Amino acid sequence: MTRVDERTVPRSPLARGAAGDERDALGRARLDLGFNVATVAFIAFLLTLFGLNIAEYPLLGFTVTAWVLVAVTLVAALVLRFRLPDELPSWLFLGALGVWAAAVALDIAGTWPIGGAIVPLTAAAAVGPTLLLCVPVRPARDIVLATAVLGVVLAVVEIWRSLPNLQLLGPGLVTVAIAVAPPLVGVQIVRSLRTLVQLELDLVQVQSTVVSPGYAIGMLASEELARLDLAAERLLDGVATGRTALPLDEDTADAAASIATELRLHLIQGRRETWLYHAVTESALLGPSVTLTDPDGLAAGLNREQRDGLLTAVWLLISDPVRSGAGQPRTLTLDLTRPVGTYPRTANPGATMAIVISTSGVPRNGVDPAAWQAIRKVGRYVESFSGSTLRIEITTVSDTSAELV
Amino acid sequence: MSRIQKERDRLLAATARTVGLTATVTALFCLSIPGSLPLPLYLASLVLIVCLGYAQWQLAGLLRLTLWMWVIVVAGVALILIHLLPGTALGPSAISAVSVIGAASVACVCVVGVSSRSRLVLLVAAAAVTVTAQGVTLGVTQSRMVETLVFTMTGWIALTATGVWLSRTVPRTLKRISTMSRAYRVERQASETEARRRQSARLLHDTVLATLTLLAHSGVGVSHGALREQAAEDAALLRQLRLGFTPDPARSGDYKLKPVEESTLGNTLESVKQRFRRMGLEVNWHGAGQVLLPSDVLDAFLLALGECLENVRRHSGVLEAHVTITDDETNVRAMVTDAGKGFDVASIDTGRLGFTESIVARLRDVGGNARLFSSPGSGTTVVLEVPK
Repeated sequence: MTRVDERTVPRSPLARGAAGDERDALGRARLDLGFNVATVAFIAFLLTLFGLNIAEYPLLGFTVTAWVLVAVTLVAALVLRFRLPDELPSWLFLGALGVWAAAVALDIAGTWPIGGAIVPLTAAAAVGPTLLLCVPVRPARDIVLATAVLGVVLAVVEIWRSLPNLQLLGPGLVTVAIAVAPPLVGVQIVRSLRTLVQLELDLVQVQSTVVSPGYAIGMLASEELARLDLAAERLLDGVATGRTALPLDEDTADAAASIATELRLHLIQGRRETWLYHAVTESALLGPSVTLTDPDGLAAGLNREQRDGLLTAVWLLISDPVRSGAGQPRTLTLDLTRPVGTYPRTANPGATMAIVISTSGVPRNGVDPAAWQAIRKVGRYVESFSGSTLRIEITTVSDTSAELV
Repeated sequence: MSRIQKERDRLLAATARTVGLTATVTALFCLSIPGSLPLPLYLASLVLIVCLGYAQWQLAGLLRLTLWMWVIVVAGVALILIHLLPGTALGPSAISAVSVIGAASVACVCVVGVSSRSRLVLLVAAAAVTVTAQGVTLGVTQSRMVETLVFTMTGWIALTATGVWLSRTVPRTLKRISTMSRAYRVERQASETEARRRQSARLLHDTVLATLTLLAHSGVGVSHGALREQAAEDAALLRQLRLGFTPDPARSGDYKLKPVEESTLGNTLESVKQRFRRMGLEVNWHGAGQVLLPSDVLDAFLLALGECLENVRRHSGVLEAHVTITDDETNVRAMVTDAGKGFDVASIDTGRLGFTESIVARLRDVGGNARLFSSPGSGTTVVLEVPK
């Protein structure tokens, strides 16, 4: 399993292929449109600001040129957006940054307080909202860096210009805020959305175990089996066609031995685990955070509703800090045992089980109400807090006709 | 409230909080610039700023959202109106503060407000109140008004657009993801079926595993030709499995490569018997049929036996031969007898019969021996002996 990195929860190996592409395609086209409106609105405002004060600009040519540069990149971005690959090519981004740097320089030059008249920076500030258009198509780091540079340059210029009259610092600050805030907020939105989509994909993938047989080989194991078969086929084919010389060299012989051993493990020992085991191991979120103890494979006895409830509850308990952007997933232990005293009196062993969920770092009132609702589907429960550890004991009575494949 | 809605509101609220707090901090800076407001009013505005910021902070908690939105609107409008009190034309920084509060600090409510109809009413009211407050404040104090009003409009438009698009994108995206759960289910089922199919091709895997095990010992102990043949057969079966057939190796011939120490004589002798029957010699077997021999010994033994029987067929003049197999701890012995013409062992050049090369030499290679007994008219007996 891959580790959770600082920015996002990685997708599981299974979700990485088609689902990953899908994920990118999902939110972005629409998100772009929302950003476009915001960008155009801000730029329209700055242009109005420029228009209102146009008579006072000492070097109008510079500022007009700066505006033309910004307008060209804006139009290019709006037109090109749908013909470009998902990620903006670096040369194009760097080119745009160059154009914007020129625009900022020209605007600063054009508004130079020659005759003492202070006019607002407009085209330079418009670079910020234009950067917003790049947010969905460039890594967050690039945007943040570019925005920071822009912010520092504008702040220095504005502070320096308002030194003679401190009251001018206010409008200057607002200009800096207009330039800096949109791209940064955009980065935050895209990041949250990405986390959200990844978590959701993970949940969907995990929930597909709800209808799988109680015991299964699992997706990872079946991929592994197919891989081993293919490796064996290649090796045997090499021997058959004479490509591999007989007697085999040591490396090939070792390879044959390891393939045979792994195949034996898969085939002869019949690796079968409960659906819950597969759900946990296949999930990028649950895998590293959940410790599952179920020596008797009791989870197999849970019915569909109960499985759904249990998984959803565990998932909600763990992912809450991630979804609210507060940090890493919580760790959680999950123990499934036969309650003492019921076995062997119960006719159907495994029909009754005790599930104990314990997790630390959950604020007392911070459990998502949906988690309790989900737990109720599994069985009767008692919750208790000791320190910061939340312990939920669930007693289930499974449907005796539950699928015990 | 469904989970999708909750996720959407969470994202909207987090965005609103960021926008609002950023704007409020900017406004605080503007107000803090000397000359923006007289000190008592500045202190009062600080209280309002704290209220505003606290309410914006609380948005992300998603609890009592409408209440906090009202607090934001009221505190923001009060902050704008506080600028009326000096009664003089506002300085640039004060105008900036009024602008930012109207355009973003208060307007951040429209990011969260667009998601429900009742809050939409609040939004329209808030926008109207904010613009009016700005107009009144700037008008009464005879300050510059145009930029502020345009900026406020811009803020409301941009934030509403962001809110609307986010509130549509999130549920749509999540719904599309949940439709993928079907795909996952199908994928899981398919992979499970596939794994079972592969597992159920156990017989195939038995031969594959046996061949792999031989290869793991570099293929020592079996003839290379036979190993190649078996490898080709196993590879073909695996290919069939990969392409979706379920091969049945039982139908494609027996497994030919018995690993060392596993060959029994019984089956092989039966095939020798069949071969000679087709050529007109009836072979009768006596004795043990379940002797295990190393494969190289077995090869030599069978070849020698075949040669003996061939001699019987060609030279004895009878159509029947007897083969008696006996074994003890160390040796396996075959006694090939016929009731044919016989010959004088001394008078016949044994080399001419091919006896030496084809039988004795072969058996000696594997540590065995052959002895010949015969006399004219009383048949022939050959004793073949190989170590176990």
